[in-house]
Amino acid sequence: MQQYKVESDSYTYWEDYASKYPALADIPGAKSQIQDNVNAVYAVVLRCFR
Amino acid sequence: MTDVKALQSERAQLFEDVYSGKIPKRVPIWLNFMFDGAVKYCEQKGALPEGVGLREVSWDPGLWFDVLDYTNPLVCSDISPIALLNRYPAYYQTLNAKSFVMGNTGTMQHPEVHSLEPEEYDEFIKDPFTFMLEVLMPRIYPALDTTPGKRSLIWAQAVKIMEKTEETARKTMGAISEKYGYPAQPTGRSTAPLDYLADFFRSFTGISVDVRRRPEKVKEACEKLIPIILSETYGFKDPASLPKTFRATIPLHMGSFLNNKQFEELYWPSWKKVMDALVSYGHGVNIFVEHDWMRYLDYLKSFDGNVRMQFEYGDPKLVKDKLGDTKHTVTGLFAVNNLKYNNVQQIKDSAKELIDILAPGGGYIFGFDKNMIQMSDEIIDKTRALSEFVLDYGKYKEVYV
Repeated sequence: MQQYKVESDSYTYWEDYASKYPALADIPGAKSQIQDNVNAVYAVVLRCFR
Repeated sequence: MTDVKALQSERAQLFEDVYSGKIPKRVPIWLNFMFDGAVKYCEQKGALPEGVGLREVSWDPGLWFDVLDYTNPLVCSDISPIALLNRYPAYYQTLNAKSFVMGNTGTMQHPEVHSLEPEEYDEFIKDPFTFMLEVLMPRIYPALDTTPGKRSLIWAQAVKIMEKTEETARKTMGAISEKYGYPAQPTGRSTAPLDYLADFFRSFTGISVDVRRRPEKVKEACEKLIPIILSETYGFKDPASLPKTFRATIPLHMGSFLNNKQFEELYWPSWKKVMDALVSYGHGVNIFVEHDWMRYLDYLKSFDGNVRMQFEYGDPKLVKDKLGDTKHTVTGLFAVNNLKYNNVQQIKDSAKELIDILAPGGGYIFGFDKNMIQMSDEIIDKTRALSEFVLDYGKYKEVYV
């Protein structure tokens, strides 16, 4: 099965974020705090176009 | 178990059976009325506070439960027959949207708009998401065409409105389902890439030119939209984390306006990839086949997984011939105009004809060809007679086994 991933200068994946702030990588909950909110806002952006 | 819980469970079983290829106890019924019509009916019957109509209800999600609570019990359907408003005026007003505006009657309307110019295809294709964010959004949502600081504040307001309204909508539908025994139907919205490109980027007029003058750009843009569309469908979540009963919903727009060559080369390849990805996680897909797609049935037949296809127009015998021996589910084709122009006997005859053709062997849900816009005493009475007929005539053991 082919995996599809948004490739964009404007989309932040947790992995990119964590590499920028390595101290966060091991903090439980940091990933979901960051990524869930990024995802929620980006989902609203996409909703603007349908 | 309460009667409502038992009913909810029985209905859930009907859908589970039909989607998994088993013959259900009876043909499930899935009727759809538009929220606007339900609100106007409530207004006529004095079921809303004095002076409150569609405009006011659309702006006040706190009134939505009352509208559904008044109208749902009037119509017999195995899924909530009244769909909630999904175009929130507060959200579009905050963004000063050109894409959705409230008309004089309170109905949210989608004018013919475009945001992407034909000479911008290359830049769009390079990074669609960034181009949408930076260039296209301020064009169709001009409130965002301001200083970075103000833009951030306005966007934060819009997101907040969306979150709060969606939360109210979820709670409202949950409460209605529990009260009237409708099964949960977790769903997410998806799109065929060429439709996505047409709807807000290039418009119906623009894409109709592009498929003739710049088909390669259209094709390339559609391919680049696939991950964006899939991300939206799942709300950027891991698809594996969603329930197995999750079904993506796709209304199909442009297919019937393309010739066969354009469909095969420009519409189908990227849409097929979206469909393959959706079913690969074990989820179903509900497609609304708008207008007449009879010439594309062989394409629809080739999908993997279970796809529920709601047909607007077409030949039910041809649909049965092509899709009858597949894993897919057929619905639609019952013209809502029947309820407006025909008497009860004619309505029952039309339903019988469809059931006789489409129900044998399973894979069929009785449903309208499109959402019914109006709601009136006469239409409610006719719909009730229709549902009673389908409940009785659609019993599998008595009719077909």
